[in-house]
Amino acid sequence: MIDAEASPDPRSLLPLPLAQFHVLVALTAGDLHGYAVMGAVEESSGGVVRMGPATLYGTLKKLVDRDLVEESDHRPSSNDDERRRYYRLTGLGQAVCRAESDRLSTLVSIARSNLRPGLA
Amino acid sequence: MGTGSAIRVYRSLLVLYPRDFRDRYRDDLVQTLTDLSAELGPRRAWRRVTLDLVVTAPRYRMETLMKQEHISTVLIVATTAMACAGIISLSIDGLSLGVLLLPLAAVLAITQRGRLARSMDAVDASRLRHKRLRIAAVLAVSLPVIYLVSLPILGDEWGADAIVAFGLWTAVLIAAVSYFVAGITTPKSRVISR
Repeated sequence: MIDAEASPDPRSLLPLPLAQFHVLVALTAGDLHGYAVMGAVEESSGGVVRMGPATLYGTLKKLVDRDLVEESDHRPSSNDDERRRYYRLTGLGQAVCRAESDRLSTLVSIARSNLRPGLA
Repeated sequence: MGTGSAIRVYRSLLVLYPRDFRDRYRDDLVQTLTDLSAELGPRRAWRRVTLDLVVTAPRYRMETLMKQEHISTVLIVATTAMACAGIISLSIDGLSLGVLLLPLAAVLAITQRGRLARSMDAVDASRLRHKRLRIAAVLAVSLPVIYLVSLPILGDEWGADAIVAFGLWTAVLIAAVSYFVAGITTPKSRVISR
């Protein structure tokens, strides 16, 4: 039986705050520790989004509390620092990330269509 | 400032964050400062961490505060007290304090309660919503009861008894409206806070 409370409709969680979406997108690449997430966000945003430590972990906390992200026991390499916590997307996190991507993609299409060259 | 000192200073500054946040992420935050210092250099790392601290510490404190249900009770009591004091002040000595307190109570009852309810992000938000609506219903039902009970003491003269009765009726009305607004604006299910 599907538990509706345990698996909310991903669209009901949209729109995502920008920082949360950036972190979800960073984690689509695989399991990452906090600092790696920070670097991935900065890189994917072309340096526009620069998170501080508390912004990062505050965002991760919210995502974990909402079951979009979970801590991972998986270690990419055996000589990695044991104290580092790794994070990964949950099934719901992937669905929400996909839904937000679709939403933004639709929005971008509308903007591009309305801003056709020559109309300015 | 050496790396060891910088970490000690940052670790002590983490007291500015809510307890559950710093207990959960203290080591991760310090580790991130160490990583940032190694990559960007101590000065740039500190600049980023300081800005981050100034922006996030009050925000996380406020978010934690707004999630605590007892704060809403404090707000309701404050609003009600302000409204009562305003009405009594208006009745006794004309304008003065009442002019200030009544609009303030109204602003608190409407805007602050709305914001408070919207920021409620509790997992059991549905239970909270029902509880608030139930309290609003009880208060609403008590309004005509209070009116009927107070009728005998309300004469033609605008005396102390009438002021107390009117103040009580207004207080219950404000509380009922506050709980109703809080109830209908409390999310039915879990939401992403913005």
